[in-house]
Amino acid sequence: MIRKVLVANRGEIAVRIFQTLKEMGIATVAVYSDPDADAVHTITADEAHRLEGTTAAETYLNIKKILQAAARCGADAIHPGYGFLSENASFADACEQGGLIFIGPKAETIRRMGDKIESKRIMQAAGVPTLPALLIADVAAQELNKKADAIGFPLLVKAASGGGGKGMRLVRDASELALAIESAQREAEKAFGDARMFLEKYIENPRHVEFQIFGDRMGHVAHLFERECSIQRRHQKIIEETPSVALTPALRARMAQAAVDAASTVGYQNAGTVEFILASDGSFYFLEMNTRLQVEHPITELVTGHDLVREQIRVAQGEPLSLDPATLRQTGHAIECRIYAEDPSQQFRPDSGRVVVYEPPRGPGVRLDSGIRQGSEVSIYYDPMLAKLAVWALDRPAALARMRRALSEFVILGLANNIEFLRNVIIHPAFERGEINTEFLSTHPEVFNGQPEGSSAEAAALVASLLIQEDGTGRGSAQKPKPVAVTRDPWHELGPWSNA
Amino acid sequence: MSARTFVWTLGPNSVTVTLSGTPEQGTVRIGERNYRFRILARGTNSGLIEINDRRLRFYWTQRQRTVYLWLNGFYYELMPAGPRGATVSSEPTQQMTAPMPGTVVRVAVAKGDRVVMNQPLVIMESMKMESVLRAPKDGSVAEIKCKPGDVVEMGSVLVILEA
Repeated sequence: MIRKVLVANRGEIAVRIFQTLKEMGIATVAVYSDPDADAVHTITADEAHRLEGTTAAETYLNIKKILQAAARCGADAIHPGYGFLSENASFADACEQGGLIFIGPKAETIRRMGDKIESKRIMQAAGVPTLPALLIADVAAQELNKKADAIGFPLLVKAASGGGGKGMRLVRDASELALAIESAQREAEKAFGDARMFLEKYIENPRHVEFQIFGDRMGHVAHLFERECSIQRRHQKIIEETPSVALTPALRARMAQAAVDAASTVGYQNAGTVEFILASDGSFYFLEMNTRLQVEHPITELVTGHDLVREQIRVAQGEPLSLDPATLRQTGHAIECRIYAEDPSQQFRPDSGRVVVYEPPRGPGVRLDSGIRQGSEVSIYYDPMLAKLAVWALDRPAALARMRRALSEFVILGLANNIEFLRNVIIHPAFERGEINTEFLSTHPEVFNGQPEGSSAEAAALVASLLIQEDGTGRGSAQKPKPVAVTRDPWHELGPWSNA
Repeated sequence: MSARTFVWTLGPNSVTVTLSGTPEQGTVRIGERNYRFRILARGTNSGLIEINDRRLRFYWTQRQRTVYLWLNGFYYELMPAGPRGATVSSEPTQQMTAPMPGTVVRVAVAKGDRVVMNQPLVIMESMKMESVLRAPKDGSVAEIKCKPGDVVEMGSVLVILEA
């Protein structure tokens, strides 16, 4: 039995894992870098151990320091969260060799699925639909263009170890192919230390639909339905929902079966995600398998009622799946928005600084997984995601209305955020109709415009004038401000207040 | 108290506000229209205002001279317009600030150096992207406020130039 878990991660996901561990009566251990000494995750666990250093490489990616911390505190298991070491097979191996349970799939599975060429071959052999692809190393240089023509343009140049859009190029014409391969190889070599490339057929305006799967040591595999993750920026998801409006019951059943086949063929254990590209004609293709708990797992929890972290712990300590395919249901509709410290109007440039004001949304059907609080310092060293806002309602229109309301209540000041931008997407008529694909943001640039409907530059200018007791001509006002009621937070004294 | 005028820049728009009364209560003219206002509560970074008969909650903070305001569900960035905002480049000294948070990679000038317009002053790195901070006009380097390896916030003064 697992009694004490070290979470080798930070931010909202570390906090979220601690919450379930506490519900299960399992002791919690945080690790933290120097900039995270006062972070929310550091103060949430029963114990916190310092990983001396600042950068991710010195701290959350440092296998030796993390294993030392685990030995020091007597943890019997490590949860890697997502990102950092979560898909690092050497880390999973090192945990096992150190006598620790790695809460995730077997190291061998991580290794096989982490290689995009290898994973494609495995899936092809298992009868899971994959896109026509070609390993460049297998082709003589003078044959490349002919073979590329056979796949057909446009096509994608992709890195075998790729991820997050790095080492990937879209090529629309044969004349651009050689240059694209060269440049993608350079990028992949730098980012992953692996310059192997393959060519893959490119599907225009696809949807990104993934299936949550789960396996145990006895060989049971279950799926927990899909997540539609088509709204992306820089090849990263920012809005996810379930169910997907694009799936009919028949298509859902076929995709779910393919996902279960994919997991079964590698003897998958613990939580995983099978990602598919869904074309507008309803054909779908295996994209990759994420061998970890996914960022967007909360929406699956909201529609199924299952706690995926609890299931991960159960499976990791050798228990059978508690998920029974006969009783699993998708109830209602859930949406998640990723809240980032970034400026959408400046190509999503990340920002850092102190969170001066933090007022999270609350109320029926609202779930917030947050790694920050008022006063938090958001540093430049890690991913700029601050929180995940998820809502649940009985149907999609009600969930959209709820997400709009929750985003409208969410106040983060002190650094740039994407809250208003996310609301612009949520209320866009095409999004409301469910007409989405991975190119949504570039085909609907109006979501980047400021001055959304209902805003008032006049009222804002009035309030700013009252706050800044100095006039626009540069002469300071003679009168000092005399606040009417000076309190740190007047809302608690005003009683119930409703938005007009 | 006499009327006071404020001019704000919000993105591409400019809004002129003329206030009469006290900072807590009075009337305001914006464009062709008049409104009554009353501050009902005010905290360190928050408050409640009534404009005509509508109550609006607000939160705010300031970075340099820009006001970041959340008002009734919407975010606003307001820059004071007018002489103080517009005359920076004609002042005898000019502060060159970091355009984003990041790390200083290289300082390409030394104190006392003459620089010409567009000459690189500082090279910064943020989120693995490099950017070059250049001299906006001819001048000389009065002071250098950073060194390679420094981690700086957006708006931090890196170099001071003088005409």
